Amino acid sequence: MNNSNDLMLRIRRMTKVFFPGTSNEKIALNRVNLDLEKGEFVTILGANGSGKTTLFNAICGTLELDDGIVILDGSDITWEKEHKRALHISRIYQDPQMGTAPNLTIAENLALAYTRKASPSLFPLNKKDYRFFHEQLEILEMDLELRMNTKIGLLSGGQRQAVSLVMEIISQPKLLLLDEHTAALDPQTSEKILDVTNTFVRNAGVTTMMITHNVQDALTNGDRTIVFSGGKIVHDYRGAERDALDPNDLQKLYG
Amino acid sequence: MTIAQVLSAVQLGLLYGILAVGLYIPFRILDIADMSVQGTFTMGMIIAAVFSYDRMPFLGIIVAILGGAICGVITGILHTKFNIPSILSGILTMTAIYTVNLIIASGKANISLIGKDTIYTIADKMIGNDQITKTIVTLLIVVLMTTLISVFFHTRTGLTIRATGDNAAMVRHTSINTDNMKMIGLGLGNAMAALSGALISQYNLFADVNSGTGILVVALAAIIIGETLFRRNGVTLGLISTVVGSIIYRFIIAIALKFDVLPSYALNLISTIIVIIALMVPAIKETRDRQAKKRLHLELANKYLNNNNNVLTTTDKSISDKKNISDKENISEKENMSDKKNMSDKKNISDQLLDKKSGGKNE
Ligand SMILES: Nc1ncnc2c1ncn2[C@@H]1O[C@H](COP(=O)(O)OP(=O)(O)O)[C@@H](O)[C@H]1O
Ligand SMILES: [Mg+2]
Repeated sequence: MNNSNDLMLRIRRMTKVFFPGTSNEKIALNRVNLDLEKGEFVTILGANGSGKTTLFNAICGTLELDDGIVILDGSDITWEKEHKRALHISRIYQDPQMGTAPNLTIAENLALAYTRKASPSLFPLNKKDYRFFHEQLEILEMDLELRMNTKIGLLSGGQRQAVSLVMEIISQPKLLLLDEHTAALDPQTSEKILDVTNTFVRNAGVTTMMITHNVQDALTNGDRTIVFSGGKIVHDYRGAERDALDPNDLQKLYG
Repeated sequence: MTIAQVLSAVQLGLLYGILAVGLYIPFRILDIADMSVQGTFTMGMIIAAVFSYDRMPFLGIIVAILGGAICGVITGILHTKFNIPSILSGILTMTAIYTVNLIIASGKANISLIGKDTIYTIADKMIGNDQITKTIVTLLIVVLMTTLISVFFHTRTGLTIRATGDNAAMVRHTSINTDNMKMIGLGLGNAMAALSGALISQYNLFADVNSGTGILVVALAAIIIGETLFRRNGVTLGLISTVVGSIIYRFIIAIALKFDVLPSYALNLISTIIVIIALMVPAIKETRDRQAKKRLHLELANKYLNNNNNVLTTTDKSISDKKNISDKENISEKENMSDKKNMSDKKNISDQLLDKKSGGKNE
């Protein structure tokens, strides 16, 4: 159906076994195949321990695969080192502490994320970049653009997650991975961050995968939903089929 | 204290302040307790002395800085490329440097520069007053060095080094090699330690391969005194407060020795006690704050339990309306707020109490 040139991510036979050959053996990823079109926004559901985070770890190179191939935008990255892949893959974690440096200011954190894409300059906080960061923060509508010289460590979890999002977007990744990035936030903040996520993802047209444990969120965001179970993709919904899904039914399916 | 004693305390404070900055960079910016600083400090002394002995005092300082930087990078390689824990890497480099220093000094344990030209004697020929020369020359070098380092830490590379010490995983996720950043930071720190040693040997007209003993605690004392007085706030202020801390430390030592509190050979013991006291301050403060908070909390809890038990039931509804009360972020935000607004904000604390109670009740 798809021309392979339109695919941002191709995963074949992705397999990861923890503690092989012992009584604790755990097949975290079981020959997973997955294709993502350019600009596609996929949400991922699955019970705890079904392998969702392991999938992200494997894509990012945080762990080595036992078998399989990962192709990002036409190039084979299966054996590429983690920090090299990071140039093209951005990731936000559940824990707001992970993605930001607490003792640096908002502006400095953004500057760091932007290092790879900014035009060369000795000082990272030059006028041009500063203005750009200001504009990006305005999109959040959280008044963070007024606090650019505040240390990130003084912000709330939701604010930190919002800054992380801006950081990942301005680094212009080919692939954005969100691992329950709203799970540690209260419902209002979570909703706000999801809102902002949609805005940024759509504006940037970045190919995105979002893990969530909220069935409603999984169906109302993005354009495709896959369900993980026991290290396998057991459902893959899109289009009309996805629109017709009842969140309650889905809840039962993977619960 | 006489003027000469004050000047001498300031001079020594500035000179050892450079060493303290040399430790500050790995210790506070990179979060690596770098022991090799002790070795590179002595190495700076020996190199500068050897060159001064051969009438090249300026070149001696430059070579000392380079030598220090190279040793720092070696510590960095041991730590990042061979995965040796940073403390151990520092100890290995420091120990090896001891032998290197003896080799540089052609096997002699010490070098006297009496009658030789140093940057101080050369400058003195123009200024004409020994004490003023020593103060001005040292001050100029410290100001120049602090400014350069501060500017460096605001460049792209400098920012990345600071971020590496703050959240290395995040820096790696921006596709930057944190190993290189650690090596640059360690190189810079040890270059400063060597500069400090180089200046001190020319200042004292003497260098000894054993001068490094106890020097880490001296540097640590400067850093911690500075932080106790000025708090940790940004890299520029951190550098300045470290140098100021070093000067204050020299005054404390001068006073302790003047009043014969302890004999002069007890210097290392005095230094250690100063560091321990300075390190204890935050812990004592924290315990006292906690006790005060606890008392207030208990008082309020008792009041509610005694006075009206129905407070809990009547407010239950409004509480459940607020939803997400048990949410971690929400509570921690409130705690932050009550910290800031001071703890006597009774409404806030009682809110928290009720929140916690109702949470327990509903379950
Ligand atoms: N580094 C690891 N070492 C050992 N087992 C792991 C590791 N990471 C994940 N696992 C195991 O693999 C399975 C899948 O985990 P994970 O991908 O984190 O699930 P989730 O879908 O909840 O994100 C779990 O059983 C987990 O215990
Ligand atoms: Mg997970």
